[in-house]
Amino acid sequence: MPGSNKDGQPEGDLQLEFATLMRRAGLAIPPDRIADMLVGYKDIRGRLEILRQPRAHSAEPSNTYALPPSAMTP
Amino acid sequence: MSTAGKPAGIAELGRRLRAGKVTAVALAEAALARIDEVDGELHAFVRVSRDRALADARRADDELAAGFDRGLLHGIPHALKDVFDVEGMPTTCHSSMRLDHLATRDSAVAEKLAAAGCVLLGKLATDEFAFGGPSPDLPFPPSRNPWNPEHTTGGSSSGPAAAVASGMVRFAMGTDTGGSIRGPAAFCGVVGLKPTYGRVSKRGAFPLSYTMDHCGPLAATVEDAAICLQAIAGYDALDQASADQPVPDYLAGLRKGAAGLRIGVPRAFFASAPGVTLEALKAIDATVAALRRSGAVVEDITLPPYAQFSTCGRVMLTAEAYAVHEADLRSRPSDYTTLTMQRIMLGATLSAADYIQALRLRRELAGVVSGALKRWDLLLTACNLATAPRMDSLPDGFRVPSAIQAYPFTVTGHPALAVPVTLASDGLPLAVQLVGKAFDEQTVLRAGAAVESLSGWVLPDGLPSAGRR
Repeated sequence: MPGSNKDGQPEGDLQLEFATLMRRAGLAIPPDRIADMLVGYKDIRGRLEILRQPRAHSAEPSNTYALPPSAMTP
Repeated sequence: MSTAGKPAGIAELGRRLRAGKVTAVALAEAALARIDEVDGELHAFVRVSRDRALADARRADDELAAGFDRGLLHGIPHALKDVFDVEGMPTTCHSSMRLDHLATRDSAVAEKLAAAGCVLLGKLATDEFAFGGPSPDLPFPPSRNPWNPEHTTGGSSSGPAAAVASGMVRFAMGTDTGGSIRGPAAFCGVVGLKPTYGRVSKRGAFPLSYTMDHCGPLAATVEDAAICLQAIAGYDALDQASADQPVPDYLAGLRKGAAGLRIGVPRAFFASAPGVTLEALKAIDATVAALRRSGAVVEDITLPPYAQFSTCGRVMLTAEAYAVHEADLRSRPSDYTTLTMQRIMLGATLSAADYIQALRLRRELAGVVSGALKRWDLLLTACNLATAPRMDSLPDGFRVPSAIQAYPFTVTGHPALAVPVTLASDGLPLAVQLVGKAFDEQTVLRAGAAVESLSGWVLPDGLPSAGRR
């Protein structure tokens, strides 16, 4: 669809989404770099679904926290 | 292929030092002269520390004369990517934001190489914060490929690759988070080793991605890389990611050859990858054939799709790099080069769920690769899908993925070695990549030495002039 990314999202929506994320992060993008950054944003955004694999609740947590042994010594 | 003028390796230089045929001061002076001769064109160095180099060399000569032998690296010149702290020197990370920074203590790598008696020549160019790229707004010129200076070295260990390929040093230290040792090594025809995650302490190296950064050598030969790893490997209690694993003798068994090795080839990674050249495919196939002739078992295997590894790696790297730079990106974004700023700022678009999903996928992918390496001693895959691009062909803005396939093994943390094997028709190098079990750098290096021998690859003396077409 013209003016859309590969998810079919209109270009204008993508720009608004990107601008909102940058504003939320407190980042100021120079106006002459926004177009290039949108290219990068589209690229990485389009890949994120690859990360979403069916996983059961029992799947090991990715970053289980554990205290080092010395901290457990009374 | 072979070329005339094979320079002496580290072990041979060491024999000459101990036989009194050369001094460490002479080696240092020769290296400094070589830097003066070619670095004006190649821009490998951002800082040449002449006084330090000669002082290190004099100390090495005095110690060796007194019978105090620190080992194979004693008196050998080297240099460090400018992300490694050296006390009293700036660690600029090739950024205008850090030109006045002074390190207050040595990084772990600098400490270990100094303890090994190495002679420090200076600091080497990198992509800005190990994440940018060649761009006109860098504080120092980007490095150029000694095989053809109109071409890039690749990054981010650009200076180390250029310095080794042009004979300024036999080895240099780099870092690898998404291919930053192996990519420049492949593009510049040198050996590049990304050890197992945690094998080499990252203390004192400016971080790009805490959970994916690896420190390792670029070197003229596999043996030189092994000698370097021997000096820098080991547990460091001050690096939380450091692995408390014994350090074996990396030189033992280096010349055993490939007979009996079982090697899996994840062909789907590269066979139809975007941008892969016929010459790169032929280089891999020729390596496979040579390994089989020498008695290795080499078969195609299946791993999860490359896109899973690359996406997982990109999300983790971008998120973690953004966390490192968040405060500066908010307060002083224009002090970054445009390319670095654009790349790192994308981390702000990632959600916590994106990052956690990437960590989950990482653990799964690492398990699959470790499982494959229970059935196979090694994996053999592509390193560069094509030769180094021209500097003037690199787009100004966001850059699409490069011709380097390296993400999988920074994601999983397995040791990976780039070994140059041939020149393409454009006169630029092509390499293959060998991947081993966690902490089994010995087998990776053994196979690398076999590939190096079977291919006949020799880094010629005298680049860039020797390589001009």
